[in-house]
Amino acid sequence: MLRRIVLPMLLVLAVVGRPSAQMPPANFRISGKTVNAVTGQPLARTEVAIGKTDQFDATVQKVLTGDDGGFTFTGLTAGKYLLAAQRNGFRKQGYEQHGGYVSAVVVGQGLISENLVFRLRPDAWIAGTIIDEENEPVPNATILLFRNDVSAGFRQNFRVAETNSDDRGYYRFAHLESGWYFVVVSAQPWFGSLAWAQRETGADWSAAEKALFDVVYPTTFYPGVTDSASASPIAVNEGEGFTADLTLTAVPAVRVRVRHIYSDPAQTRSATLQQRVFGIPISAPSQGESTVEDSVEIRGVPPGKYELDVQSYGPAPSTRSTVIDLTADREVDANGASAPSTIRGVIQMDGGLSLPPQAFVRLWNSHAGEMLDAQIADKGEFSFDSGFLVPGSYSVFVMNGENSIISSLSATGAKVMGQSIQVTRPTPIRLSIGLSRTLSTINGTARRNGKPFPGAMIVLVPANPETNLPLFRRDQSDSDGTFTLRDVLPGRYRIVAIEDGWDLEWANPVVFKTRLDHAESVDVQPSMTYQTAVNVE
Amino acid sequence: MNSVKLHFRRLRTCSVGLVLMLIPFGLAQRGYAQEPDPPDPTVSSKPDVHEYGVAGTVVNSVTGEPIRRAAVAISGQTEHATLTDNSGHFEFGGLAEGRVSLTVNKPGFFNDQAMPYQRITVQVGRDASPVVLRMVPAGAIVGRVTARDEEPLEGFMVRVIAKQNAGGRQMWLDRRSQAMTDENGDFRIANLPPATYYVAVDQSRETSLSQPGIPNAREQGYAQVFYLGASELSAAVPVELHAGQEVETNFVLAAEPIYQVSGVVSGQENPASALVFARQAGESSDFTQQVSTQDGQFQTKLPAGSYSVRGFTATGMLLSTAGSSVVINSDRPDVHIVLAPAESIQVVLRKESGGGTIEQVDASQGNGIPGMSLQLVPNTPSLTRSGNWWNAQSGAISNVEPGVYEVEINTVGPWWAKSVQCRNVDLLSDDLTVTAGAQMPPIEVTLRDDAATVSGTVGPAEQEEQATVLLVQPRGARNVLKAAVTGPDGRFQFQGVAPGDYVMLAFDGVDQLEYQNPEVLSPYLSSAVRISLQPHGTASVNLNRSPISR
Repeated sequence: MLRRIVLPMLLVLAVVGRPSAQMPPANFRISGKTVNAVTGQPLARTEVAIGKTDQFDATVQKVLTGDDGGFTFTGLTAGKYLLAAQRNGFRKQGYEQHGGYVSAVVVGQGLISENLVFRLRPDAWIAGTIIDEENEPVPNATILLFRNDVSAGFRQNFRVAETNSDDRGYYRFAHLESGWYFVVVSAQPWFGSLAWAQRETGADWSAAEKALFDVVYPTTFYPGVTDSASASPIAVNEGEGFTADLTLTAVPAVRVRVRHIYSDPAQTRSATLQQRVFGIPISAPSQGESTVEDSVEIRGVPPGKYELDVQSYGPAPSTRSTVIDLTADREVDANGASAPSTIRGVIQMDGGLSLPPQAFVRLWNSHAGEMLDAQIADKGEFSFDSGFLVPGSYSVFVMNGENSIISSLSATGAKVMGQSIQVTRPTPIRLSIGLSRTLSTINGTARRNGKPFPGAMIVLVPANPETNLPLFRRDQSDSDGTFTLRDVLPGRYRIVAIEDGWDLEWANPVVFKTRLDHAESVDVQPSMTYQTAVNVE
Repeated sequence: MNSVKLHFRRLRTCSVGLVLMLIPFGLAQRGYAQEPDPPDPTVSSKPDVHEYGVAGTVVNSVTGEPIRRAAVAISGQTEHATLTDNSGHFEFGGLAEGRVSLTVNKPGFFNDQAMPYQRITVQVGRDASPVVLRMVPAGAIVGRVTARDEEPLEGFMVRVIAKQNAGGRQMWLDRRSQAMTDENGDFRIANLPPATYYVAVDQSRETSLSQPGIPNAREQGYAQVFYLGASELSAAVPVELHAGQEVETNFVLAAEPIYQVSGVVSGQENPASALVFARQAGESSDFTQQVSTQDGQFQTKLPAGSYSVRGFTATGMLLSTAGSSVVINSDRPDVHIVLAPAESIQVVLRKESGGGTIEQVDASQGNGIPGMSLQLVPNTPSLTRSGNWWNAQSGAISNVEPGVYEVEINTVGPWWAKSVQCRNVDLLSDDLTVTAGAQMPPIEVTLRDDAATVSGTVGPAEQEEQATVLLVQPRGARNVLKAAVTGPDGRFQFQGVAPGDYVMLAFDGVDQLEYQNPEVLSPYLSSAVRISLQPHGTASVNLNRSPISR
């Protein structure tokens, strides 16, 4: 649930070291009041918590605000503290929170940490009723909530929550951030399972029965369309709600039979159907599976375009994918030639060291919203199931890399630009990726007119920003104007500080064109720490 | 009569006009397959045997209004299904004379026995009249949970409990109907059949600060509470839910301060790795906390009260503070908890042969009594405690906590229990009392192998619903009683029956009656069938279903 954000997961900041006496003086304070960010009214009975950024759980202190919304913490040692609050109607949030970033409160000699105004954004909600074309409620529908926001530099849709409708077809999403959302419904008619039990005996239906019972709801988008391009985004402001009702219309179901999937008793295999919603794979709605001889039949699927994955388990797990466009009942051979993987490669850690065990390779086309992941097998080999790839520019990432970063990228069959590849025709592409751990850190202070500027968005922009998405770094300046950019790969960069840039597509070069001209420049070498100052415009 | 005939004529035309393919397709039956009826030999063969139909309406049993889009399935001759129209009407054609079964489904509706479908058998033929299928609309229990200062309480689990019969005893069963309060403190538990319910809000899963303005003020929490503010079931206010009704039950919870409790646990060579603290509230508890131990030390947070502590060793032995309590009413940094193993009761088996000689039986060796089971059932219905089973391998019943129990013993084949004794208590008619700390003497069971068998059928033959058959012999404060459920053709069998005089009766359905309670059963005994059984005897009985008065 959105309510339970765990703050230590945020990308934040190092503790400022101080020249120490025997025991650090513990006579600093943090104080202020919590107010409703929309109305400005003080918030009583709000739980406010502080904790040191590097040992949050061990040092956490909490207080409940009084009627004036005020809170005071005393007896604190110097350092950087995370400040968070929550209340009925206000999800847990951090001080000056933007996305995953907050401003830490820096406490110490000569620093201001009192009379803070902690603006809490009230929760929004989206709720509604799902009915069918006969005006009857649809219980147990799965409703997915997607949020449209700037993520990793580009505006895109991503899944934030999921719930089910109750006996009246009613659903509710609470504790939402203000913004733009899409509501997507995946459901089965209640009598569908009755029809399936009949199917178990292998008998057939009359045409009249088929029309009544062998029906299914296609994945439906608010306000009631079945293609994502026509979906209407829902805007909710802080503290407000929106009622999104939907009507589902049943269509005749189709079936997919995957033949010979169980032909080898020594190998365990399974078949799943996935569909893409805003480029993100979700399970296709279906009414179940049955085994027919050595095949599996997936039933009660709405017509549409799907990816059929045949997974093999055991000592050499693998997945074969085929994209199928289902307009009628269809048979597919599990052992048939699947679309050959057109993107394969090998990845190595610089210096011959071993790869991080959980690492995997990701390709991301931010403009088309297509994202593909590939596991890394023995000897660093990986391959992508590319049935859904559209031509375009794909950034290459290595996820779970444990502080290692791509240091080199080369390819045959595709043009490499920085850390992206251009996929044009479906010719086989072979990638070679080098990983490096020789990373640097940039510490700095954001200033305006010579004074430290808290809460600014700091962006580290690499040379050739269009093709080097993985090289960007971001932070938010703390209450004393300081910031830290970590895990920086060697290269030439410019640093930009923006006062209120949280809705900007910060990885979009058009946005930055003018600002880059008078930005601070840094030439980063491997494994170094830098100190700098940046002007906030 | 006229209107019925007209109806049929219409059907016949329809059946000629419609292309009705009599291709059978299976229907989800609960357990066993349907077999088509053999053709009735008394009906002379006609050129068109399938000229009859079945038609009817599905209605709401409370309002009498038709239920549209209910799924109706027919089986017995053919297997088809349809949805009722806007008038709740359905019809099937092309049937031959005979018996068919109709099953109706619709979300939010039950039959009289709280099953989510309605099934009846109808006779198809010349004089058959339209069928009316009544379905009982479900109800809902809704409400709001707030704190004393009217702030909504989110994330609290609300559960609905009903007394149900299971194995002839009234048990508290969690209907698995629960809901979590939303950000307004609101909850809704729907799809409930009409019954008497008790509503409970579970204890809070998180603590919160109790006082404003004081950093790190004491935390507070909430214990489990039953409607209307009771901490135990016996003091709870029941909620009568009628068909189709929505009842509102609101809760205002009082927070309790939480104390820091730590200390050591001792008294056992194999220490428990986890302890469960349960605050006593009547027969059960309203606040539980689990904590793991580290080298015999533990640290936890509890509201004030009197607690019993339990734990399990790695070998599955139950340890508890049997009989004594740990009292908490402030922060306690050095609590010392002494745990003792729970009672284990030996069971001694003896076989008595026809001539009267008695030999001891070691059930773990090969000469045990196959199919025998023995259980201690707590005699007050409790939400948390289940019975203890005899383990043939160890020859004992282990982990028995202090309390009062009924002994339930079951034998099969030729074996029957002539006596079950503990010291001087006849456990076939009286309860077993287990007191804390007292060493329990063994339970002595004497068995004979000249049992009788009773079998038979329950009519009427057309009734497909399962029936419960009771074989009863009044004895002391309890009846000696065996129960069986009929199979597909209405047949039943009792094995391991002690020779003697009995009465027998049968009831519709399963678990509709609290038959283990002699007061509940006695009004029905006067109309029961009497039967006398000899050693090694067999008897065959045909029973009719007795109506259950509500």
